[in-house]
Amino acid sequence: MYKYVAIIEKSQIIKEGLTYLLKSHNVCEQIAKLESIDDWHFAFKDEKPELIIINPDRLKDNDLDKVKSKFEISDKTQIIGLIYQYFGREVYAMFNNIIYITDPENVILNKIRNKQKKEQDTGEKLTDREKDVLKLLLKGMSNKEVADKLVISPHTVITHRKNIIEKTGIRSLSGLAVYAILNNITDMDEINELQ
Amino acid sequence: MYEINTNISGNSRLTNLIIEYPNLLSVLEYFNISLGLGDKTVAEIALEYNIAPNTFEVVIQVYCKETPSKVLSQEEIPDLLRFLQASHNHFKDSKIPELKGLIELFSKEIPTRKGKVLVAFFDEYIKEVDAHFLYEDEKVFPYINNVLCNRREKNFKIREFERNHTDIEQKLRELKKILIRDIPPSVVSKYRKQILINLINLAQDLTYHTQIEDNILVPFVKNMETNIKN
Repeated sequence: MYKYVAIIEKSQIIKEGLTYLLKSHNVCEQIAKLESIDDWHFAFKDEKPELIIINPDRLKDNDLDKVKSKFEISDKTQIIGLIYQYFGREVYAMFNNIIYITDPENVILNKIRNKQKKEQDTGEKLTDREKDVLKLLLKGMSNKEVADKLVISPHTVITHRKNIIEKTGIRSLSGLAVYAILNNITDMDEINELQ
Repeated sequence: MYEINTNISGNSRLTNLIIEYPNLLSVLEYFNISLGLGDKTVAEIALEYNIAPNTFEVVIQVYCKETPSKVLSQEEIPDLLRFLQASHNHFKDSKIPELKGLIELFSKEIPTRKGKVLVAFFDEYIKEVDAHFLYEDEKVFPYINNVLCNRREKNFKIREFERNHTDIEQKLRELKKILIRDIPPSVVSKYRKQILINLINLAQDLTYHTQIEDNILVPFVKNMETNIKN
């Protein structure tokens, strides 16, 4: 489930229709409806949306990159194009996915949810600190215990965990155990689950 | 109800579809249909094997990545349940054990006992999948059968299933990654590729399976729930 979704579209009917669809299927907690990308700063201050559904005609010069840098939208934000008029192929290519207003309900929901599921790892190497955290977690320690041991805050442990998942593309502890052993981060005897 | 034009209908010839969408072979397996299909169409096969034609058609459409063109009626749902149940059995009794066997063979070819973690990882996956299917077989499907007979159950609603419907493909994605990325090239084994191929097929099959549950079954049951009077 997304926490915050932005819909950027001029037509009131389409905006409201899409909002209804997302709300009734629990796709997100909060929806911001914008008529133009220029309302961005006005709508979002501290919390930024994780998903943006936008009609390309709301972009100036069809330049999504410019908009992204201007409004500091991170690359992790999913951006879906909402299409009901003619656009060139290069416009389609800018988005993570495309919703056509002729799409049936389940197809729209799938397109939105698929993106939620997809996990690409960033391919970066784990830092030494992240390796330390991983080792302790695999010993069976809780976030709190790891924090105490390394003299850091539990919040920092959670951040490390998030980074480990993002870098490896592996979410489960048992999967991370395989990863850690194969990449010589830890030893077989150090892993709680195998005892 | 609306109908959408799709390329695949009751008139499509099944042989041609399978050549284009090989995952359909699983559909044949779950419906117990033998190959040697001749030039028969989707509708003809449904008739021959006593499957509700619309049910067969929408399942095939999902497996061909198309949007189902029909909304199933109350009489057509039991065959869909039969299909889902049969797929559970095939996953549990044949596809997953087969993978487990291959992983065991492969793990022996990874030096210094490191393969052991791979087996432990897959064992955990099996537990997860078993729990997932057990919940559906013992709780969700019987509930739907009740709904089909217009019987109401007090303590359960399909919404609950929707909320609990866990992602059983996550660990398969992780395993794919581990096989492709993390096991070093020095481990030379014919099993690695074989496991990958099985994994890719299983994951695809599970995706379609879940789509049928989430996009066809759940909306149908929701609709029934609102129509059953107290």
